[in-house]
Amino acid sequence: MLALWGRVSVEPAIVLRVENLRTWFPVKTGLFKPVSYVKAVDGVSFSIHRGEALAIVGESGCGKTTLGRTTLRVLEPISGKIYFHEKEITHSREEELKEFRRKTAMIFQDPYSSLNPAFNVYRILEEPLIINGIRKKEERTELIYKALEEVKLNPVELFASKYPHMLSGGQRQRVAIARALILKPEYVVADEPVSMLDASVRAEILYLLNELKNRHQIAFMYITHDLATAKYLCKRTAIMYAGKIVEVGPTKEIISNPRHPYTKALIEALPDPDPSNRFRRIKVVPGEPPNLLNPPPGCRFSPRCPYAKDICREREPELEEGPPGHYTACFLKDEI
Amino acid sequence: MMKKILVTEDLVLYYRTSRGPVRAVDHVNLWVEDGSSLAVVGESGCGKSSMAYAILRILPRNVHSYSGKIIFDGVNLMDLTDEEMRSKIRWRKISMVFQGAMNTLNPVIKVGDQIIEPLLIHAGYKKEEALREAREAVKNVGLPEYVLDRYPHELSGGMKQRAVIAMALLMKPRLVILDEPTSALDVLTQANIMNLLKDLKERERLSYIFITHDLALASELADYVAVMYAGKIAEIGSAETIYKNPRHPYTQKLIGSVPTLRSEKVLEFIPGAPPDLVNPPEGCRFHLRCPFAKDICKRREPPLIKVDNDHVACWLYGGE
Repeated sequence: MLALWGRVSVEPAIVLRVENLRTWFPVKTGLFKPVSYVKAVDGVSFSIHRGEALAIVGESGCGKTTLGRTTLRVLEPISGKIYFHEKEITHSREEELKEFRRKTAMIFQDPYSSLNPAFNVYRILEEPLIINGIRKKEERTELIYKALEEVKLNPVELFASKYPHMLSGGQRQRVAIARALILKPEYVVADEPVSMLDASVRAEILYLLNELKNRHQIAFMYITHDLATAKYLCKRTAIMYAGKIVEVGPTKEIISNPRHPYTKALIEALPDPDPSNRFRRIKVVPGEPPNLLNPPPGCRFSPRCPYAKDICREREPELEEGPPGHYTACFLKDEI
Repeated sequence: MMKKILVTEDLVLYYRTSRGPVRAVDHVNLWVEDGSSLAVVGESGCGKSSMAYAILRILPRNVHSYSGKIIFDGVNLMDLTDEEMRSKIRWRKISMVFQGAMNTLNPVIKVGDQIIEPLLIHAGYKKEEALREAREAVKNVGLPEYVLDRYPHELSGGMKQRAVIAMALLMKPRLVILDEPTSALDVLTQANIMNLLKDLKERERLSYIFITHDLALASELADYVAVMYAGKIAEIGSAETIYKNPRHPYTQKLIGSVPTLRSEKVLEFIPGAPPDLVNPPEGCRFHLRCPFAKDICKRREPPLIKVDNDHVACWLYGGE
């Protein structure tokens, strides 16, 4: 009891929590046919604490971006619940979301298209300040310069006057980060923030994100297809497949001891730079991810899974805890 | 010593722009040993794709200069006419899988009719004969025959990529240039394609030039690695040397910047950005970002010199 009490007292507050979230997109297949749904996010639950980064890792089309957007209420879920600081915002109207909008932000994948080319950096960073009613020009300028300093774009006056086309990819992404963080958000979703960047600047941006997350104790969702970069930013990782979280736990645990067959296949397929790789054959699972209009019954990975048994095709596995904090949705997790 | 199937000497490809010539490929010397694969790695804009276009002479209109030697199987391709390049070299001897090629398939033409196009155009096959060949070719890359009768939107990304690879191998080329062949694919599909490329290399005794920005992926295929920086070769050597004992400071930093899954390391990064290729710095093009830059690095361009069995363009290893 004492131990438990001790653990609760050091645990930072939960900033964002979602329960059984479902975001489906309606599709009309014909004039008189019933509407069917693309089940992009289908029953996802997790929480993110203050100062914590959670990685959402999965392949394209697994629903990870939809999940990120739903938690920011850019999309409205069809069922489930979203709590921000324990206040439910699942279906709140836009007027009620004003404060939520100010306290959340998003960093996009492509810094070449997420910055307005007709605005200089000063104007790009000023936009959220104007929208959120910071009237005094001096105050805005001060905040802008401070934000540029935080993302290490020095000298700040020089960078404030530049236009996006005058900046390199890494510098643009710094501007995008400055814009996301300028209002001191408490929850930030970063959707593949380094995947468009060259290898030599990628690490720099990862370190910057980590530093800012720690300094401002931001709850952070890092969406990526690359488990290797997740390791450098996130203590905890959730693996998504076909709209569901199939495994979640400490990132290092997941990498060294994956328990879901999909996670195992994913890790096997990711090469480390090693010249002996050319002599190996990668063990790959056959097939493609399912169509989310009509996912297979039972476990969604079962049609591709080398271990699948009858139960996998009949019933959907739930996330269950194995090693402490490490949850896996697989009937065979203890056997394989 | 193995035979070299391709050697470039002082290969140059500059593009004309309103700001002046862009030195995309600037006196590049590299070689591919017969039956082996050379990975060409570098960051975006370093000239690696331009180098491939220069080898195949697929040039845009705004070429400023195009010179040097490209010796393929004893013949200098620069001496051939455009017509000879088209009818004798491209597809027949050297073929290419372009970046994002699977998305360049024509959506309103059946996959089979697109795959056989090189046979009809370059080899004068009749359609039935060509389709017979195509059936073999798609089987060879692990696709069922029925894909020939399908339209591109009916196939998945991985299947389209396999179809494009089948097309590149249709005329039994000796050398295949792969320009980011898996860049639009998922991790698992990418692994499948890498396995296929390994099989084909062995089965058909192919040589590859594998162009990629992904050093981890390059190691899946590379016997040799050429590292390009700002239009030049910084270092070229065996995969073992480049990954385990890189010599050029740029290669060292680049290898250090790759996140690894299975081992712990502190990631490195290179402050600054690659130079503008209209106006590259004097001396070594990396000297502005190089922690070891000496006086000579700022003044004179380092030549590609031999160190043990590898080659490096860096004043730290002599060469004066």
